[in-house]
Amino acid sequence: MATIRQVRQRIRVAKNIQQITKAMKMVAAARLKRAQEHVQAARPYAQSLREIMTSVASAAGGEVQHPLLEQRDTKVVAFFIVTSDRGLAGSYNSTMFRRAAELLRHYDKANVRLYIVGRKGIQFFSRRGYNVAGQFSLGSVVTIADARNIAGTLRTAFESGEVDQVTMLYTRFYTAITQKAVDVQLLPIQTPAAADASETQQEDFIFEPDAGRLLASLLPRYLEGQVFQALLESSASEHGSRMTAMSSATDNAGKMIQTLTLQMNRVRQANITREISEIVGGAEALKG
Amino acid sequence: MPTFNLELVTPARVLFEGEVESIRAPGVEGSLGLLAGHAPLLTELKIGLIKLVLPSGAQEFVACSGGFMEVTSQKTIILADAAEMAADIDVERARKALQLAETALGTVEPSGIADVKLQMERAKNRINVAQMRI
Repeated sequence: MATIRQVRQRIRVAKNIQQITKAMKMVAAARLKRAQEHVQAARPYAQSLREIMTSVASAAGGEVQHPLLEQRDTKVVAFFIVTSDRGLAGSYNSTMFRRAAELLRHYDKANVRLYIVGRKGIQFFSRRGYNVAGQFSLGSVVTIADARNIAGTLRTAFESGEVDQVTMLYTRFYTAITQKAVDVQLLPIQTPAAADASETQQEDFIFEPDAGRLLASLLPRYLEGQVFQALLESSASEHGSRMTAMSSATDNAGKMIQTLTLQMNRVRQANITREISEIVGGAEALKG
Repeated sequence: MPTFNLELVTPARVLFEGEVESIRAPGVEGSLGLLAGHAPLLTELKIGLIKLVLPSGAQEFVACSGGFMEVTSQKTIILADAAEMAADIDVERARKALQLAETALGTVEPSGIADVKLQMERAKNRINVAQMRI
């Protein structure tokens, strides 16, 4: 049986941890709110960009030639993976690693290049002997400049023929407790399908300059937009995941403190009982 | 005067949404003026000034760093790579950006010159547009 001192020590430790997890939970909640606002604010742009792409692509028809649309035999594939810099975010990173591992299994390590956001991912994959061709780190707020930088790197890699395909892996944000690791093909760019085109009513647009050249300047923006959206969603997911994890950690610490307090009281009472019976026993012995 | 609906969005947020009487925008093939009922149009925009005339007669000036404009019968959308209302422009920052770009121009390798020139142009545009505020 543990002594009172030992139990008291453990309670103190649990309380300290609880304080930390509670603070982390609150910080994550505040950051989540901000990240969610950013995701929401960025949606109209992504939406409009997709609409415009659809109009232009259907007008330009199939004859468009652009380096970013070029389908090649896939010899070397690249994966762009979004993870976090910091841990203690529940299953945020591990879910992503599992999803990535599933996809990476189909390829020979020598033919895979990884572009990774976040220290956790960089550590994980370089330790496993993958070729990490690009490393990025984000500040606390995701900006379009980050997305442009990353999109530029991926674009150069694709255009130079270094890689033949780029797949993006990020965590889509649904709610603070539900996030999902998803993958999308980034390059070559798949123009929105003709199925989408029938939804937006066909208007006879005047194009300035012609549709082909418009598409050529739209494509890089589309790529940036996709990366930006993924970064924003991932950031919201990270904070959501951390908030949920820290919330349950706080609850668990609370439960632990309760059990330990109970245990401490029991030990204390047992001690008192023992002391009394010792005294009584001693007194009895003297009497005799 | 008849008005039409305009949505001016940047990657980060919606900068302006509402009815306007007219728009002047810097199209790549020349400055464009738009009134209500314009034919469907899709154009690329270059760095420059966007001028909005609101139904009240008030004017808004926006610094635009390139983008696209889509005009349909329902609404007009401007997708700007970056845009700022004249009133929100930090002139000090724009001046610093211009200076930085100017000094970089001398040191940068040939492949980067185009980028630096664009930076200069954007900074100059912001300074110009900031001067438009009343």
